[in-house]
Formats: sequence, structure tokens, C-alpha cells
Amino acid sequence: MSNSQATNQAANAGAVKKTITREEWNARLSEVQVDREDLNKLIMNYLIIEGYKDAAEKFSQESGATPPVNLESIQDRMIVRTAIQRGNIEEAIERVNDLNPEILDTNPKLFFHLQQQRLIEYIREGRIMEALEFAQEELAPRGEENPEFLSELERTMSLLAFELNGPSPVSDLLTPAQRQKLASELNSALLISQSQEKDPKLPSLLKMCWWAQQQLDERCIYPKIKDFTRAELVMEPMGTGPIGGGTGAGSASSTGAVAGGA
Amino acid sequence: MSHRERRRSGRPSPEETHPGLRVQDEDEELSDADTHPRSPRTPIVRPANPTPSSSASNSTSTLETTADVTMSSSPSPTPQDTIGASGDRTSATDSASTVTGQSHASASTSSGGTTAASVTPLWPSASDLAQSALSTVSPVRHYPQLHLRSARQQQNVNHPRLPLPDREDSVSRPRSITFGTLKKASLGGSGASSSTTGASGKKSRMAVLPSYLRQTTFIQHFQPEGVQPDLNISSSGRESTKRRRLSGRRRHADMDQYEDSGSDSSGASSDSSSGSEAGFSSPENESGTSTPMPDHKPLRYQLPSRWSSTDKTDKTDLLEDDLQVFYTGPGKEDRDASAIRANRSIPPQCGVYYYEVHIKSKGQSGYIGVGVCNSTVALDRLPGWEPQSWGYHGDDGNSFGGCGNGRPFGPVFTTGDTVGCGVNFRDMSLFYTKNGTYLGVAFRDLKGTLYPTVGMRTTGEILEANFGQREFVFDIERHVKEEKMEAWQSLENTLQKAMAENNQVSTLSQSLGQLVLSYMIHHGYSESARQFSNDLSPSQGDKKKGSSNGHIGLSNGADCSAAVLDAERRKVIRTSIMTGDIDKALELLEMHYPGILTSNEDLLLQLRCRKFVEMVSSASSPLRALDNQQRKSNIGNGKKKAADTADVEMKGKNGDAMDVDMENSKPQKAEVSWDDELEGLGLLKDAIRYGQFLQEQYRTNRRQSVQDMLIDAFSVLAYADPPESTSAAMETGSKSNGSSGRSSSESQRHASRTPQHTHHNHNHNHNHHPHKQSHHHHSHHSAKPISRERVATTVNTAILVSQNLPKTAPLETVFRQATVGLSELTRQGCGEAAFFDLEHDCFE
Repeated sequence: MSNSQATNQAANAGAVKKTITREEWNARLSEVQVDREDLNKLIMNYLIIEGYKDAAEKFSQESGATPPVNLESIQDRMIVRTAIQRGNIEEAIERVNDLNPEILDTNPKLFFHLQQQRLIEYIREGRIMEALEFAQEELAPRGEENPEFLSELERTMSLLAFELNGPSPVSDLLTPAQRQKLASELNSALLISQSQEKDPKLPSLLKMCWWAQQQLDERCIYPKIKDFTRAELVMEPMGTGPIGGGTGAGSASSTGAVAGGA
Repeated sequence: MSHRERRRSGRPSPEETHPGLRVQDEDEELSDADTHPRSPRTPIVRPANPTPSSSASNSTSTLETTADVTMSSSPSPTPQDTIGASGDRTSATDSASTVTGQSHASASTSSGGTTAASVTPLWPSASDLAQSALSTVSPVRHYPQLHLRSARQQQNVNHPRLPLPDREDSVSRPRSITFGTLKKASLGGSGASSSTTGASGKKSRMAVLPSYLRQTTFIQHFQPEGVQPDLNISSSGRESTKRRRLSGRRRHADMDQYEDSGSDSSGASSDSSSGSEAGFSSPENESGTSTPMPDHKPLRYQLPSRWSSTDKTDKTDLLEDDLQVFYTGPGKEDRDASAIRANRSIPPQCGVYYYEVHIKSKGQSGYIGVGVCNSTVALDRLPGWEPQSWGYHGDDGNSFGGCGNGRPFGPVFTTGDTVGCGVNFRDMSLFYTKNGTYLGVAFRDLKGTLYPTVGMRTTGEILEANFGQREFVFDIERHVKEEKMEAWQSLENTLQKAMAENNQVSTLSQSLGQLVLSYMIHHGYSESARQFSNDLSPSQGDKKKGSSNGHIGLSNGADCSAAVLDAERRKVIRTSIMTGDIDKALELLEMHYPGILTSNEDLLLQLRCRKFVEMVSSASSPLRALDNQQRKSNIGNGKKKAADTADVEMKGKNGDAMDVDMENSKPQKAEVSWDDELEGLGLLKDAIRYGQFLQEQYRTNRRQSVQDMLIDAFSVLAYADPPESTSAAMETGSKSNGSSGRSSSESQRHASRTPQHTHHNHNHNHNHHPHKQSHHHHSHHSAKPISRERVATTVNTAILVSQNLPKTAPLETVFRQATVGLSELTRQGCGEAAFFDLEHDCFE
């Protein structure tokens, strides 16, 4: 048992990093039984919770996955989502208030994010004067309530300091992802108000995968997914960045190379 | 280690302690001894076996061999002999007792030769009990063995096409061999122990997973101890991957049960045979070697279940269940302290481990410590006084973490109190509870392999442990739930932090949309893909550059619609394959993906084989319709019907035999049947012509897989009922003798209903639902769509590969990666992984 202890400690300390070869890892991957039905359900769950009604309908027809709820019930959420993703924040706020005025009243953070997005949209459209006015009248008072809001507001305002299409530290605010994030936030608030499940399961899958990789990075070398969009397995000498976003194409081909431990 | 050895060797001769306690020692030593390499010892034992009387001769030879002889021969070897087990077969029993004997021998050696003589008279009974201890496990081993078989039969009979691939068989076969030997060994043991069964029930066992651990993935890794598995755990003890294999988990609940009993029991047997004191033997082996097929090994871990009867000092004694422990020393000064460890270490894989100690009596002063420690810590000290030891003491409420100076921690505890001690393997901290109240974390940064431990120091102290056999005073379940939420929260936090560091806001959530889209595109759900990609970016015009990398087909509108168009094509091709229209599929492939058929030999072959199968089955369906009609008119005409049926079946087999058949069946036939028959014949001829073409085409191809594929396809002709048999053959893949396998399973199936008439009875069923005939078949084999599915999948993959797209949908890869990653973490003893349960968190 002293033996087991030794190995255990070695594993904990990460003194010697074990390497799991690509071949072995692939063999293990291929052993995992993937149930298409389960994955379809996972996707269906995602589409419904995120409010993609039409897509959910089509997906149900094509894949045979049955939607767990009446698809009509997600119509409202879809309208709100679409409005946000189009950048039409005012419409979204109106809709939400039609549905349930309490949602925004009881959710200062969400409301701030909506207003912030409104500001972003002004800036995107080049309506600078309106943007400034809006920021001072609507957002600044809220920033005083909460320092977290204030820093976010400042960050947003710094958009004005950069070329809209050029590189900048805040350019992420202008991406579709920013709208999507807000749409999801609003969507889960709506779901909560309808006392429905608010989190789709699909992100959990990604997060678990990401976390497992984080943990494994400390212990061994193995083929990992760097870019979750492409999900290609890359063998790299040492764990570097947690999630590769934009560099996927280049590093993807560097396979098979195995380097020593710490 | 040295410390323990000293303890063990210094153990008193039997007169010093109660015989009852000695007995438990024997049992403990068994499990302890199991870890010793056993093969060298067995030969010594075997010669002793045939001479049961040799116990008398023990004092003559050297001490060690004496012990061997005594131990192995004393537990009346007759049952073993009657069972007919050879020396090899009984090795599990023998070796266990052998080593027990050996350690006794060493005990005697140290205490001088005189002890040997005095020890001897006690041994027979002690070893009897040792045997009986073994035998308490034995029903388990032998029961599931039977179950295993019946399960297998059942699978063949009722669910012949449930995914039990060859791999499964090849894995379980060697297992069942081990198993068989153990069974025999244990049978011998049970025979010997039948007179002494009383003692066996009192040991405390960990047969059921404590409920708080059902919140974690440990539910998949728990190895129950010595209990008929099918009674207590249903789906708890299997790897998630394995569980997922049976896609309809609930639908096949009974199947699960069977499989479980099989795998669990084999796990149990292998575990207890290879020694289980260290709760996690697998990771040990695992990290030691880099074997290529570790996933075949089940990840199973046992939990501490009672106090060790060896890992203690002579100042502590146990009551019969090994849960109650009392102090017997002088209790005068600190060096009179006496600690005891549990029988196993705590597997970190459980995430959180919790046990409680009830203070039955504080004795004189209540110098009682509760905690955890490593296996090497000296036991003549209270928990916490030594390095690698952590304890909470009742007399002063102080916590001791590796040194003699305590720090104020909680309230004192005394008679009637229940103290709980929990290890949190997420952050390696130790928390305590008192009478159900959470006291907080006492220590962080615990290290090493941890054992539950308690220590006492003054006379009259009595403690009783609960390792999860009974309900806890503290609501540990809620605590674990909270811990799981904490784990998720900390995941979110690190994720946020990592993203902030990389300046990647919501990369994951952005990936989500892309993963969903690529999944839809991959599987040819083109309408969904089109709709979803529109939903993702409703106004395609105002798209800023975005962070979407140059990912094929997904980043901008044009590419995306191209990908969707491609998905559309693949979908149409898939549909035509799924409806059996192979010609259309071939045509479409050639049109949209020119060259793909010529460049991919296997693809073309699969399509052609499938085409042949489709031709044969379409030829046979009119024949079968005829067959039905015939039988319909034959109801109530038993013998005649049987004869006819056989004939028609013949027709299906070889169309040449027609003339004979027709004479027989003519009188009952309607005119429609004639047409059917003629049509069927025509089609069959076409099919055969195509088959000959195939033979011609591939005659020169020597690749085994090609020939196998052809053989599988042609085996269709050998059956009266092509769709069914084809699929069976297709399903077993490269198995060329799929035919014999099928027929045997089929006959088994019939045999299980009515042994006399095989085909007759089968057909009779169809009479009630003539038009549902094919459905009926498929409910058993349901393989026809599968084999089409297989071809369709091959085609889909081939198209994707030809365009340099990944073979599996990225989402699927993520799922696989998560599964393997988490299981590797578990293997490496990462406690936190217990809180991330793919099955539960994603698919429930």
C-alpha cells in the first residue's frame, strides 16, 4: 500500500506527467457509445430553451426528436430573442414588459445589460450624440448604484475611442456573440418567470469537457480539443491556453507530436 | 509500514485475547493477505490438501510450512474434493488461508518456538471461521455466475440484436473463467462453513452505496462488498459509457439488471481475489503502467466498511460487528494511546466521504480523537498527533493536524454525542459535525491515502462507527448536493476567469450555436440547419467581422448556405437508401459527388451489396404474401399447413424447387397468389443475375473484408425470410458464419415457446396479424432498418470525408472527449470529477 500512496501522490503533485498517446486516446474515444437519440434530445432541449422555435420545429420533423413542450409556448421568447439579435433593443424591452413587467423591475442587472446593449447599438449605428445622451441620462445613474455597472459602462463608452471596424480591446462588444449573450440572459429570465427550466443542458456538456481538459492538463499529456467549434483533437507538448478561439486552423494539423513532461 | 509490521509481529499469542476477537483477526488477515502474491504459495498448499489429518503434524516441520499445512488442511477439505475442484481451482481459498497461516507463523517466530505449540490447538477453529468468512462471499460469486449465463441466454432469446458486440463477449469470457474458478473455490468454502454460518453475519459490510454518494458519479464506480449484487444495486455499478450502450436504458431495465449482476459479480470476485484492503486497486495498476486498453478494466472502488482488526494496537478491541471499538489499555499516560484504522482507505473518487462515530462511553476522561490518517501513521498515538494524521478531540474540542499542539476548533464531545468526519476531495479539506450540526472545516491540504481513524486513551472508552450502513445523524446528502453546486460554481468561475484572460468573451456559448449547426449539417438535417443558421444571425447584412474563424461553411452566409445545400443533398441520398432505393442513391452520388464511388471501393461495395439485398427482399415479399395467404386459408388444418409452409419456405430458399411446391400448394391458392409468385420469381431472377454480376466484379479481389461483405450479402439467399436474415448478417458485420448464429438463436427462441414445432408455431403467430408480419420480425431483430442505416451512415461519412469535413460531428467529439476525460480523471483519483456527471447533468 505504500506503493499506492506513492503513485497517488505523484499523480497529485504532477511531478511526472504521463503521456497518453493519440492511438490510445482514440481507442478510448471510439469506445464511448454515443446515442444519437440522446444527442438529438440535447439539441432539442437547447433549441427550445433558447427559443429557436422554427428551428425546433424543423429539427423535430427531420430528426424525429419530439419536443418536450408545446412549441407554440416558445413563440414569445423567440420574438424577444429575434429582436435582440437584430439589435432592436427597444422592441425587446417593450415585449418583455408586455409579457411581464416585473421581470425587468426585479432584475436590475438584466435591465442594465439591455440598456448597455442599446448604447452599443447607438454607437454601432454611429448615433454618437444619442449615445452620449443616453449614457448620461439612463446608464450613469445606474452605474452609481452599482460599481460593477459603472465599470461596464466605462468599458462600453470606450468604444467611442476606437475605430468601429478596427481592432480594439473592446471590439468583442460589437460581435454577434454579445447580442447572443444578452438574448440568452433575457431568455432565461423569461423562462424563470414562466417557472420553466432555464438552463439548456448542452452548455453543461461543453463546460464539463472544458473542465475535464483543464484538470487533465495538470496531470497528463493527451490529445485535447483546443477549439470547441471545430472540436479537433490536438496533441500539444504543454497545456497552454484554455480555449483556442481564432487560431484553430493553424494548430489543428500539428498532430502526433509528443513531448516530455514538466 | 515498518510500524504496522511491528504491530503485527508483536501481536500477542492467542491466549491473551478472546477467541472471538482472534477469529475476526483471521478474517481481516485474509483480506490483508490477499494482497500478497499468491502463486508461489499455492504449490505448498496443494500437497497438504489430500491429507486432512496433517494438522497433527504441524509442530514437526519448520514454522512456516507448519502454518501452511495447518491452515489449508484444517477446514475439512472434503467439500472441495466432492466438488471435484482440482488444486488449482481452489487456489483462492487455499492461498488466502495460506497467507493467513504464514503471518501467524511469523508471529509465532517472533514470540519464540514455544508459542507454536500453544497456538496450534486454536487454529482449526480459527481457520474454519476464516473459511466461513470467505464463504459468506461465496453465494455471491456463485449466484451471479448462474445469472450471467441466464442473462446471456435471455439476450439471445429475447433481444437477439441488442448491441452486445463481440467485444462484450471477448471481455466477459475471460472474466467468467476467473469467475468459474472462484465459484468452485467458494463452493468448497461454503461446504466447510455450513456448520459455522453464525459467525459470518456479524461482520459489517458495505453492500449498498450510502445514499449521499448517489449524488455523485461514484454511483458508477462503487464496488459493493460481498452481497448478491442483483438484490441491491440495479444500475449503480457500471461505467457510464457502458450504461449508455443500451440506449433505451429504461426500456431494457431488466436487461440492465442482468448485465449488472454479471459484471458486478465478476468485479466482486476479481476484486476480492486480488486483495481489496486498499480501496482502489485499479488506479494503482493504472498509473503504474501505460497499458493500451485500460478502458476495458472497470473502474470499481470499495469503501471502508468497518474497523480493521489488524490495523490497531493491542490496547483496543473490537466487538463482533467490527464497528464498536473499546479501549483495553492501562490509560495512564499519552503513550498508552491507541488508534485504529478502518479496513480500507477512502477512494478519492467518491468526491466527499463521510462517516460518523457515536461515543457510547467517554470512559474515564474521554480522550477520544476522530479523524483520518495515512496508512503509515503510528497507532500508539491519538489521531492528529503525528504527521499525515488529522483529528478532532473530544476532551478539549481541539483540532490536531500533524502535531501535538491542538488548536481550538469545536465543542467538546462526550458520552452520547455523535461526531461526524467528512473528507472533501474537491479541495482536500476535512470537516466535522456534531450531533447533526455542521462544525466547519478543520483542516485543508490533506495528503496521501486516507483512512478513517479513531483513537482512545483512557479506560472504559467505547465508540461505535457508522460507515454508511445506517442513516447518518447529519444531513450529508444535502451537504453533497451543495458541494456539487459549489463544484459547478467554481467551474463557472474558472471558466469566466480563463475567458477573461484570453479576452474571449463567451467563446463557449458562441461555440454552442456552431456546434448545433454543424451537428445538423453533419447529419443532413438540412431544413433545421437552414432555419437555425438564419435564427443565429437574422440580419446577415450587418454582421461585423465576428470572431468566427474560417470554419468551413459556417462563418458567413454564402458558405453556410453551401453547407446547407450539401446537407440537403446528403439528406436526399440518405432518404433513398433508407427507403431501399439504392439505384437512386447511386445516381445522386454520381451526380453531386462525381468520382466518389470510384475512389471509394468500400462505399461502392456496400451500396451494391445493399442493392442486392433489397432486390432479394423485394422478390421475396410477394412470395411471402403468398405464403401468408396460403396459411390463412389453412387455419384449422394443422398438418397440411405445416407441410405447405415448409414448401413455401423452400421456394424462398431456392427458386428452382418451384415445380414440386406448386403441386402441393395449388389447391388452396387464390389466383392473386399466382401473380405474386410469378412476380416474385421474376424479381428473384433479377436479383440472382445481379448477384452473379457482383461475384464477377469482385472475384479477383482478395481483400478479406470485401469477400466477407459479399458472403454476408449472399447469405440472404439462404433464408426464407430475407429482410430478417440479411440484417442479422449485416449486423454481425464481418462475421461470415452469421447464418449459423442466427438459426441457432432463432431455434432457441422457438424452443423457449414450444419445443415441438419450431417453424410451425412461429408462423402460426403470424396468422393473427398477417399484414404485420414484417413488423413482427423486426420487433425481434429489427435489423433491416439498421443495415440500411449503416449503409446510409457510411455514405454520409464518405461524402463528408471527401470534402475534408470531420467524420464525426464536432458535438459528438466533444461528448466523447468529455466522457473519456472525466473517466481518466476518475482513474487518476481526481475527487472533484465525482461531481460532474455527464449522464445526469446532460441527459436526464
